[in-house]
Amino acid sequence: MRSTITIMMMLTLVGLLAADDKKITYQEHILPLLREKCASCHNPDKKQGGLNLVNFTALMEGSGRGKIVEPGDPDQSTLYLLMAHKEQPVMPPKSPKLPDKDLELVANWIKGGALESSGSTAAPKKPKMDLSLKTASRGKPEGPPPMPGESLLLDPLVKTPRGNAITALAASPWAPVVAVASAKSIILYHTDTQDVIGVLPFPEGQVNVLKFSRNGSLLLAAGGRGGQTGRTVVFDIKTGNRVTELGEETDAILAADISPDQSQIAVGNASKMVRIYSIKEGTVLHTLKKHTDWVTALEYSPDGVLLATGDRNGGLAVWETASGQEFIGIRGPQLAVTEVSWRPDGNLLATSSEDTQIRLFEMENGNQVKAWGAHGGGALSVKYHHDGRLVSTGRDRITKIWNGDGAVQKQTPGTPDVALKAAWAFDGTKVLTGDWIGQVHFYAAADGKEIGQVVSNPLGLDQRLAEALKRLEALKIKQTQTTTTLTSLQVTMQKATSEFTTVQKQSTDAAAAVKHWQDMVNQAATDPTLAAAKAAEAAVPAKELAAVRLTEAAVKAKEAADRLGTSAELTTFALQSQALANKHTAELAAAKQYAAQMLAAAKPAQDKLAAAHAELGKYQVANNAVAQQLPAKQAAVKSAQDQLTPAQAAAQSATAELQLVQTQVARMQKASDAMKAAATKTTASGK
Amino acid sequence: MRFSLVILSLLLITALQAGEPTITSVAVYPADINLSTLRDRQSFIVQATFSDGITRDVTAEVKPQLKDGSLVKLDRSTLYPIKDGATELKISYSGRDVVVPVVVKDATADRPISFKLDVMPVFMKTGCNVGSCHGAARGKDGFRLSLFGFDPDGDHYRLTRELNGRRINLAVPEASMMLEKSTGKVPHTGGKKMEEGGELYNEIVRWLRAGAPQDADTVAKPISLELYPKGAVLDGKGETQKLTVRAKYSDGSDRDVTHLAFFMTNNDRSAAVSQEGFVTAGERGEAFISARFETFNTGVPFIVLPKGLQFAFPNVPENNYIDTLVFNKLKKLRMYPSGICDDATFLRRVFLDIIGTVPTAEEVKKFLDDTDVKKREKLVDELLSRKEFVEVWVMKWAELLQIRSTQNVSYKSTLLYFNWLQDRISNNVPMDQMVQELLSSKGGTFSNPATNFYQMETDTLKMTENVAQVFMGMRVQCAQCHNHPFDRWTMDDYYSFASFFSQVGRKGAEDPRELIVFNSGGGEINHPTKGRPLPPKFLGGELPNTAGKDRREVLAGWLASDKNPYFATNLANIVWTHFFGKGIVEPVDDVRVSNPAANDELLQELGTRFRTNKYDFRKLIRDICTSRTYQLVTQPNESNELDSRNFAKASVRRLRAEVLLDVVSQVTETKNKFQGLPLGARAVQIADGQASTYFLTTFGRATRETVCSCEVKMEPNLSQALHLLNGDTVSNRVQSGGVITRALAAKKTPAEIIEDLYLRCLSRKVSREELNALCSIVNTATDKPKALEDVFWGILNSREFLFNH
Repeated sequence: MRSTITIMMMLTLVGLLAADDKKITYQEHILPLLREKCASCHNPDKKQGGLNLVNFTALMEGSGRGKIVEPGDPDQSTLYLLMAHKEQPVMPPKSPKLPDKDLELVANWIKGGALESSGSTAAPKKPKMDLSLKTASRGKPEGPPPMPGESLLLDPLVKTPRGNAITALAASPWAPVVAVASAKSIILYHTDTQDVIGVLPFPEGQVNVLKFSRNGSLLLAAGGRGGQTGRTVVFDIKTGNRVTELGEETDAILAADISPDQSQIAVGNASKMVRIYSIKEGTVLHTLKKHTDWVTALEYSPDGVLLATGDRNGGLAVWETASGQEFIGIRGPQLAVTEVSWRPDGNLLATSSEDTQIRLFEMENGNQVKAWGAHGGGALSVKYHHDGRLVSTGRDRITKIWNGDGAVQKQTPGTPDVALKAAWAFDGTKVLTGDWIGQVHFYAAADGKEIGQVVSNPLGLDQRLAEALKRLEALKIKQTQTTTTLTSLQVTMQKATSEFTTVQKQSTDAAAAVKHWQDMVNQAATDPTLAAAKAAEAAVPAKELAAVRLTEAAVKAKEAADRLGTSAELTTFALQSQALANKHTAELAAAKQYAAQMLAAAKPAQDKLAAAHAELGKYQVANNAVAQQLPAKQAAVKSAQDQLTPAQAAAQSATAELQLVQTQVARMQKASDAMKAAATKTTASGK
Repeated sequence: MRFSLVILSLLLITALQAGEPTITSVAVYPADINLSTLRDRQSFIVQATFSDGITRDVTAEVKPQLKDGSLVKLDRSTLYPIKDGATELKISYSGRDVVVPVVVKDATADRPISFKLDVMPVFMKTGCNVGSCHGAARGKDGFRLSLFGFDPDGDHYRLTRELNGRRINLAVPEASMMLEKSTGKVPHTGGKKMEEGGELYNEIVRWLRAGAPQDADTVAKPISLELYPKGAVLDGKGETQKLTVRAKYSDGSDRDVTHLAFFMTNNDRSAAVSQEGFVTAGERGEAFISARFETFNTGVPFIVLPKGLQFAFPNVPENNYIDTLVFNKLKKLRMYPSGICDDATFLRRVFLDIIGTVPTAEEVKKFLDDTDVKKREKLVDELLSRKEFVEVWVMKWAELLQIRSTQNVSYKSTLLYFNWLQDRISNNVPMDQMVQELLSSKGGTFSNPATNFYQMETDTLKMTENVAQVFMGMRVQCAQCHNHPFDRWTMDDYYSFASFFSQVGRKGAEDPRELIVFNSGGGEINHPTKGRPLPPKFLGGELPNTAGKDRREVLAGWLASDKNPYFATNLANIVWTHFFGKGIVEPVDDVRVSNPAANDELLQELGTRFRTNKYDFRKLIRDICTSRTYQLVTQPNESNELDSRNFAKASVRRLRAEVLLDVVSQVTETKNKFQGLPLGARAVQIADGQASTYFLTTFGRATRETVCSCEVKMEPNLSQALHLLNGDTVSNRVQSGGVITRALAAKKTPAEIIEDLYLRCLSRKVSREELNALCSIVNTATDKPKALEDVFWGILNSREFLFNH
């Protein structure tokens, strides 16, 4: 119920609902009815009974039996009589009569003169829209790549327990955006964050085709309600606004593309026709008739000159878009063509088809230059990247990246069910694959590994917001944690560093002291008194020896004189010896005295030297102790540093993530608030 | 069978007592009710039978009582499970009680959705997969379903993944195109097929919500189908009878599939049936109401009588069992047979039917003058012993066996084959022996002509189809590509039957015109969707042990024997059809569930007697020709004038091509020359189906290109009339035969000649008025011989001459 309200709201927003008009007109009232109930047979292609009801002029011309509307008189109008079961054959066949109110509407329309539009004479006014690019910005746009802005919805229009098969998938050629077909809407995901960054409503029905314009600023969506209506819509990717709507098809569109210069849209569907519409005029420029079965694939060449189309029977055609003439005949696929993709230089066309093959065609002669079995059971999708690589997927559920010459580069793991569509992320680093159960898988192009997944049925904005908030809380906690860790690690680091510094200083000091005292020792040792004392001391022993020896000799001489007593000579000699001995003894004494004097004089120097030695020894010990501590302290510093670096990174990333989520939450919050406000308004106005 | 006996006895009682009819029995269908799982339910119907044979649906009038109301919930005439256990449902009507046992199992368990059991039947019920819609070989508007659902796996693929995301929408099941189209929300060439929110719709939605899963291999398969009531006799326009259909499954469970069964009637005027299972009586008549579900077809007979019809069956003598059984059926239908035909009519009829000629004037006179009360029986016996009888039946068999020379089959082979057949029939070889000999034949087509059976058709599948069609009366062709839509035959049945013929060896002989047929002992035929051969299995029978045996011998031993329930009845029906112009099963080679026998008791009895008489078909013909039913006049009475199927009167039949030519030649005393036969031979004797004349082709002689009973064309058309009026056959022969000339030469008066012409052509005496009128024309004519020839020409162009009546 809520979703319908939302849809209604959206319809109002995009201005689809025209203001009430008292006049009943073909364009406003009758055509929608006819299209819903009658157009599957009475359309421009089938023209059952020669009747086309979806064009006013054709309707007024009537069927093979003649006029079917007599303005002013319903009872003379076959159209009304058959619908009202008043005449045979009743219409629509094999179905119950239309509700009375519809019949009344038709009757009143005829009574009112069977007006075409509210202008009653004027031709139908299509919303004129000129999107065509005068300048050559068909490639990468200047400035920042177009990204969905804040005005886009974020709440999926229909929330479903199961996803729908990914019937369409397109990645922007220049921005990290991927568009995914969802129920009656398109979901835009960010290819890096895998976040919903926009929801584009498509109340026309099922989305069968998604294509970005070559510059990535527009998104074409096509599809409709099977068996009833087909429509293409072009969205501005930045604002999410519908810039144009085209196509009056009577069955859902199966293939479509917007021309590179944005002047044309080509569509194909079960009618077997390809129609080229002018965006500016809203009219059909060319109806291309060649296909013998449903048109299932088409794409403009990069220069927009050619249009390649493929059908469910394996038929291919290349057309000139300006003239609507067939450009070149190409053939190959044995079964349904599922996708066509041009190489960026426009010289090669790749096709995927249900016969498992990927084929490459050159455009000189339309020859098939390469074909290879790509996906057992059927190849369902193929796309070129800017650099000429190809990505494809199919019923074997495996996505494959190919060189331009068809050599497989990488393969991904299989999807849980049939893989339907593949796409390149704009920078070629990822490929994306949508499958039958509604999952879109993200694979790294470098190794083929799965790196993420989104679905075609994302949760509602409120739920996502709640989850994001939860994530935000967790991230905040994480951020706090990482910060705390960082702080404590920083403290540890500081301490270790200061300790290391202290020890280092101690070590330096000790070394200085050692050096100082060494110097002191050296200096003290050079004092002259010390040398003098030493010399004086050194002179003593010789003197002592001489004295001793002379004394002994004197003694001996005396003894000899005494004994002999007779010899004066001896006595004199003895006396002379004694005298010499005495002299030397005196000299000895003098030397001893001198030595003692010198020693006394050297004493302060001696003391100083000893003290210096003592100091030196002390400082040497201290210095050794400090030197032992130093490596441990250094290691501590290093380990602290080692812990600190990742913690810093963690803290940084946590902060960055937090910021990102905060931005996301803010975006979602805003969208949610806007939604609530709108809902309140709707409810209020509803009352 | 029991039911019809009940009716029968009731009818007898009716005949005896007059007055207000009383209730004689009350029946509840089904006779037991089993409910398993939360989603199960079972509707029941109550049918009362009255003393005059009329039945009435009294379901709405009874007050059912449950012994234990806590187990099941009763909503009108449907039971829903509440709690496990067993109880009884008591139904009382007009003082009679019927007790139905009710068993509830797994009452609170949900039954998981099954694609094959819940979704596939919807396509059949709503007609999505019929041949004119998505069941067509190329589908419709780009979407194909297998015809009548013979390939559920393929259908699952096409619905879910052929065009991924187009036909079903798992995110929003209600937006699936298959549902939008079938409910008519978007334009659909086939129109609106189901109600949004209806039971069928909801089942599909349930399947989609579950993710459109394919069934596991363990999901039970339906093994049988029951349609109730077993029959009904409705009293007057507007009377209704509810039907209920129950399927039984391989896991022992059963389900009420009334809402999933597709109902059909073969007579909309008398008994129309709605897809909700209500039969509404219309004009007086008979109808066969059938239900189709999965691969099953089952039907029940309905009779609709005018409201409050007063009827008393007159006292008609019964010559033999045939009369008893035919009259029994007529009594049911409140009809009485037309009167018995006079001797002249009988004489001509029996001559034409048994020996394919008209009696000569002498034979007519002799028979008409015979006063023996048993003269008709005597005549039948006499005719059965004539050689022309053999020739007629050789011709008929030659049609069934396609005896015909082609580029591959030499004339010599054809002739030998024909002679072999003639030998078997003239020697009264029992039919079962003859067929066994054919089916298991080996050797050269010259040395053992029976092997020509395998030369006439060399395609294994065609051979399979021919055997089923000729000897069992069944057209199994449909089952080659899909399960038979109107019968019980599946592709499995077809290919396991075909396996009997996969080892027929053929090689050339010395004479290039000869072919040697042998048992190759190897070779298989693959089931196209299963991709593997199936072991030989008798059609509707058991799986025999064929290891090391000649498969054809095994088949012959079953097919042409008492064990095959279809063999004897089929041959009896072929014989019957020859004498009545219409089969008990019509056409004779189209026995199927949805084409029931007009009088099954009669067919079964004929078959049984044929069997017990050791497949002696002369005895069978004797029974038929001596029955009163055969001898009825063609004129209807007030009770049977609208009837054409119950043998209440004789039918007027155009003479078949060969017989007509022979009879024209016979009465004009002219001779024919056919290829390979002497001058004066009869057209009946032509061996080769290829040989024909303008006359024979125009009058629809079988070309023997197929085994179809439709090969012999009996429909009159303009070129036949013009050929008789202006062509050379009649007027030339009148002259060239010289009958008139010789009579005049013998000095016979015109009156005598006219009398003779009547006897010779119409096997009766000319009436006074006819004679007077014709004489006055002849006598006033200037050219008397010419006038007499004109009379002769006139007789030969009269409908009385051209038709057997």
